[in-house]
Amino acid sequence: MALVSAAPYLALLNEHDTSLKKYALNSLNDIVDELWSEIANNIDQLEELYEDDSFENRKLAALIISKVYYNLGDFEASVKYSLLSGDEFNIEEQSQYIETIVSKCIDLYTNLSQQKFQDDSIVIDKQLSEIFEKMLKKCFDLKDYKLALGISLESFRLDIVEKILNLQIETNIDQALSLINYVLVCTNTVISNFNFKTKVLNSLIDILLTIKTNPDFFIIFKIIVQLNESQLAGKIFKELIKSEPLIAYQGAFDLVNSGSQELLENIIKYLKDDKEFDDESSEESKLINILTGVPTCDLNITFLYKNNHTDITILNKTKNLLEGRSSIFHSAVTFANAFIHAGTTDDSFFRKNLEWLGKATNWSKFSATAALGVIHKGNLSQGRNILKPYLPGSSGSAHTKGGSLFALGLIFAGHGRETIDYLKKFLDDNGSSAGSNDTDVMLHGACLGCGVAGMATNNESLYEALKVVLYSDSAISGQAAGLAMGLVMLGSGNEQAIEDMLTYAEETQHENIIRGLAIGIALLNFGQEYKADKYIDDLLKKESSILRYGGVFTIALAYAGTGNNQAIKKLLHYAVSDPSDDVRRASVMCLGFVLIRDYTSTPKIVELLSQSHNPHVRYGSAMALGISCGGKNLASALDVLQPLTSDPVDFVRQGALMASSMILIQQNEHVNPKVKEFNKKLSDTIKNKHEDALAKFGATLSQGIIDAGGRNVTITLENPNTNTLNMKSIVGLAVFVQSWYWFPLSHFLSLSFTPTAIIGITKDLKIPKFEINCHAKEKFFEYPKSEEIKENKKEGVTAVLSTTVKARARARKRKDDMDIDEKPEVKEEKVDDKDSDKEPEKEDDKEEEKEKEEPLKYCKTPYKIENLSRVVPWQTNYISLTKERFVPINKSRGNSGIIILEDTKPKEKLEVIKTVRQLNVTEAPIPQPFTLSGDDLKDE
Amino acid sequence: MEVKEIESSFELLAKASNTFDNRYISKVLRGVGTLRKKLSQDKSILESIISKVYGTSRPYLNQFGLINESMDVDKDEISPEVDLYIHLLVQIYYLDNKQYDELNSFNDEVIKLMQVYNRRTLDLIQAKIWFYISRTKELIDDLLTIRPVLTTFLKISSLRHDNETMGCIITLLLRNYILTKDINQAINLIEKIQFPECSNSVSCRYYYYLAKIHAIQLNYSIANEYCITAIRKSPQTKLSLGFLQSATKLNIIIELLMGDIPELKIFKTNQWNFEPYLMVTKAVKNGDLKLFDHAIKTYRTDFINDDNLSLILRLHQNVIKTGIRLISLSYSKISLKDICIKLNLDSEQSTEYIIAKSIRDNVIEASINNEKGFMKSKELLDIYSTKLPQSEFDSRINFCLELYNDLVKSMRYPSENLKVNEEIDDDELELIKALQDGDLDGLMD
Repeated sequence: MALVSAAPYLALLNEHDTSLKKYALNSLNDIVDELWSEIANNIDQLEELYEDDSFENRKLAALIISKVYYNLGDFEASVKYSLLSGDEFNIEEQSQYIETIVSKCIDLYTNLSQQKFQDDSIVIDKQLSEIFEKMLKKCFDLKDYKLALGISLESFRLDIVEKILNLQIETNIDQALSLINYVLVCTNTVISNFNFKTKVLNSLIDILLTIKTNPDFFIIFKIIVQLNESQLAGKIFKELIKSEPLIAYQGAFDLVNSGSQELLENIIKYLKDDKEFDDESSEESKLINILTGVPTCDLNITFLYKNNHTDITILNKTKNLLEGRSSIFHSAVTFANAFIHAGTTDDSFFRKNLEWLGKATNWSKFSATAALGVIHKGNLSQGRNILKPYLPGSSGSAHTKGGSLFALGLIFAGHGRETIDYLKKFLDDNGSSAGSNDTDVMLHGACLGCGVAGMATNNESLYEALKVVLYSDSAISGQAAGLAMGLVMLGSGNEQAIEDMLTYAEETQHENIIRGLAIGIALLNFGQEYKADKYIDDLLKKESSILRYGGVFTIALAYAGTGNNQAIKKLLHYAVSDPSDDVRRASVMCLGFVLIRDYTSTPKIVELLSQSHNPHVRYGSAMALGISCGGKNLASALDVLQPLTSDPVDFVRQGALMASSMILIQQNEHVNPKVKEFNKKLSDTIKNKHEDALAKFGATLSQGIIDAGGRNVTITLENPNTNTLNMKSIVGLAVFVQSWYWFPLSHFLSLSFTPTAIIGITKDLKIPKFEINCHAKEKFFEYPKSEEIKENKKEGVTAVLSTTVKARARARKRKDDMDIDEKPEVKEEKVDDKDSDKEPEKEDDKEEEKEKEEPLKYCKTPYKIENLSRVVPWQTNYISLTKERFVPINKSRGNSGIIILEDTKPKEKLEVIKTVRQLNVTEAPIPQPFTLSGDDLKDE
Repeated sequence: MEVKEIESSFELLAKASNTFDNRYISKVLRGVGTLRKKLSQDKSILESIISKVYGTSRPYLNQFGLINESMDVDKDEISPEVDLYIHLLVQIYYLDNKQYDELNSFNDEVIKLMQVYNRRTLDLIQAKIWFYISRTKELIDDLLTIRPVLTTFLKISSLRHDNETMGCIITLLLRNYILTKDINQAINLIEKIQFPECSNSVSCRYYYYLAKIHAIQLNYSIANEYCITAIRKSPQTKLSLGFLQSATKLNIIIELLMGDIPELKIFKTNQWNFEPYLMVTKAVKNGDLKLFDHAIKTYRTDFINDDNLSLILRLHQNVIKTGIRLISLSYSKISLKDICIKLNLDSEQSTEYIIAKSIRDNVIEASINNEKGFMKSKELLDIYSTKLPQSEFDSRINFCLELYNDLVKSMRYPSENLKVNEEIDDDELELIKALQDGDLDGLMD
């Protein structure tokens, strides 16, 4: 029989006899879950009882109070009293109350513990930590290690993390490694406190190094990138090169891919300084060579060159439709050409259209020359020669010279070792004479070139040279100098530099310079997270809207990829409340940077903003989607962009088209049926006579982006193999969006293009010819068909109309095959390894007839692709390296990028694909392919 | 035929669990009303459904499931939505066939089942199931044992943010307390709990109980507010007539207790028998104690059935007060004795006390002359010189604004995005249409 009222027991509490009180409390404890609403009236009395030190059952009173508060929904008070109730609070009990309170306790503990990390004065209740540890022990007993690790990481208990990992290493090494990987991922994604992150990473390295048998060096390299720890890397390389040179090579390639220039530079310096490190020996010199980044560039450019699938028809059509005399259209075609051919070294479009090229004037000439840099990006061996006719000292105009200096920087982007000195010398010679018209233009180009080539080198002398240019206070060169200063010191958070730039930004009268400096400051704070907060707040408080503009970009870059709520909140606040349209546009756009890792939530966040009455906000939301979802094929993002592509305001259409093309980059109509429609939309926009110039500009650029790099590059802002942010890409995008003010900055987008290749190389750094399996239908990964072929196809069909259906099908098939084979011939160089296209093409046609809409899925029977061919990001899961002759040295690594292979049958004959660098020096026989590049180094 | 109907509702339930769209569930539940009659008359409907879905996997359902064991049973996992929905149907079957004992033991199984499931799509069904569980206990007159279970699940549902169930359980608890006359416990509960936002039918019931509790607690003006909200919120369909009727009755009493006289048109609706209340109102209006006593005598059983007798009895005072007011309006000066005769009071002295109390309560503006034994009314004030009309006006404006805000809040706007509109398939259109036809039925017993 249930009790109707607790009144009798409550009355007993007023008695003087403690035994009566005790009886009352015990009874109340039994009925509190049912009659809490009545007991709550007397909670004062219970609290008094608890506060009475002489009362022996005061802990029971606390428990009852806790339960009442729990039922009232006041969990904070409930937790407080449950802690006070000591032993009466029984964790083992199976009840909803205990479950809830324990989880609240852990939340509280995590919170306090995080605070304690920063402020030692905070004392954590003993009871609380006991509960926490008991729960951890429970996880541990259940063998739920990941949970235990996660909780302890979140509450900054490094000691527990270490304990668990060490214990695992002793017992089960494989599991330990997977747990270490888990901790690494958690550290990157969850922990925002910089100091603690470094601490965890350091201790992880220590733990990894204690593993005696077969430590996983690739994890160590991952951590090194994040810690920017050159000494450690040097030490490890030194040991590895002797025992496991292949692993060292792979590690070096990974570092080149994801580490900053400064880190690589320091490692090389460390290794060279080390007496024990014998840089004469072939392995050691090879390692240093890899670290310089030359082979990486060489391999990438070889890939882009050999697999160039540019559809020149599209570009030609666009060029003919757009009036060349108007400089905006001229620039648009220039940029589209640059993007389409980025890194392919194919500059035939310029050569074939010299008359058109001649129409360029002033700054469009600058852009056109700089486009050469984009096209030859990474062509370290030839770059200088190609640009020679345009560089200062030649007879060209100042704009050509300036453009060529910028182009030089772009060719050596991120690998500036060989060119920085040249550019710096130009700065030193002319820096003080800024102001005169011609020198200014050249200085502009040189500054940008320095910035790109010297990105993240932290090079003090270069910085000083740029500062000289800045201080001559010329609008044209000053703007570039400000930007370049940021690029050189990228991500350093150098306080002195920030102060300098900020002070000058407030002194100068030129808006251009202020803008350049504002973005420069933002770049300086890349990845600094909360350390940048004081500058952010400072900038956001400024009266000048340009500095506030810089402020929101500082948020974007400092918190890039963190998904930090505080940052998002701030950006949203400025997106809707700032009086300046520029700041509002920028803050919406910047959301894209903050949400790089969490890109699926971007469409939800900007959806409402995309319906704003303010066109700038709409433009911003379009770009935010383009930035965060670039290369991701996210349907919900395209849904938001769809209405914006037919927006009444011209520049919104421009933004929406560019953003869509960034999302749809590299996709064919099988993966996303929208591609076809979108391409048509682009050409229609360009064709339409009544369309506004800005939208046409955007459409042209979009054509360039969607087919970028001969369709062999994509935009990835996160390194797939190390889960670190791809700094170069992010910076490229951040500067690209500044093209709103200054068209030539559009070229920066080329920094964001990453080749999507699978490049297997042997220990001699040669590319062997062999086949790779891809377990999926080929049509999902094909290059889109060229416009020209499509037209041919139509003719073919009409020609064979009279024949029977069978014959017609056969004829068409043959025709197709021929066309595909002919296609490469159009290009300057006939490449043999195109044969791979032939075989599967036939199957494909059949399949197409069978079923059109078929989801991408795994199939057992693979088709073959050659080494050194395109592997798009959504393809990597279906790739498997055949287990015949070549085996990858790191099996857990993803199947993309540069992969070092172990040759299991070294005796057999090896067929090798020559790289661009090797091709260019074919006159002389080369027994050792990389001795030459070694020589190059010595010139330095 | 009905079996097919039920099976088609399974599809909707599956859709709801896939899309997390509770609207499909509410559509299914709306269908229960029409299904109910056929269901309770024909046992074979449930039998075939249960044997199809469960086979013999649920022993406590064997009563239904044993007819054709040979039938192939789908071994697929039964989705929680379908599972609970069938249980709800079984409950209704038992209830309509008055098999209370079976229902009671069946309920225990359902409670066990609900403890296992934790899905937000189940909220609506769970709320309904709780309603029937509590109703069962009421019918077998076992109100106390259900309370601990209800409080436990109240907490569980509040932790799970299951607003619908939480709201439903709160109303059930309140009803339970009121039925056992534990008004203090009810007050304790409503003071400490925050009523969640949940469906209309549940919240209007909640307001009705609040009105009742506050009326009993002498907070007439608050009670009146709640009562009006309850009436206003209640769905205007046939199924909710019963609720509307009892709420209106309560409202009449509360208005009378507040000293107002309800409008005549309330009583004139033909559907309901408001005769007892009309009589009482007349008595109060005229201040006629005789008529009042007569009304209570004749309609006593009606009032007891409506559980309003205790409130009605309180009106005795009001009748007298109205009488006094009428007298004070019509006479500027009258002897206490005359009043005593007119109002059928016991003695002159008690008349004096009553008048004094009325003066103090601001019912009348008058003074008593003790020596000469008469009451002198004060001159009537010009009501428009006071703040009274202003405050009345203010309260009306507030009411209108609140109504408007509620309306705006409860509207569903079509998405501006063309794309989304295209995606809305026929099902969805039908659903929206069904929802526009009216809110969930009240389902008052």
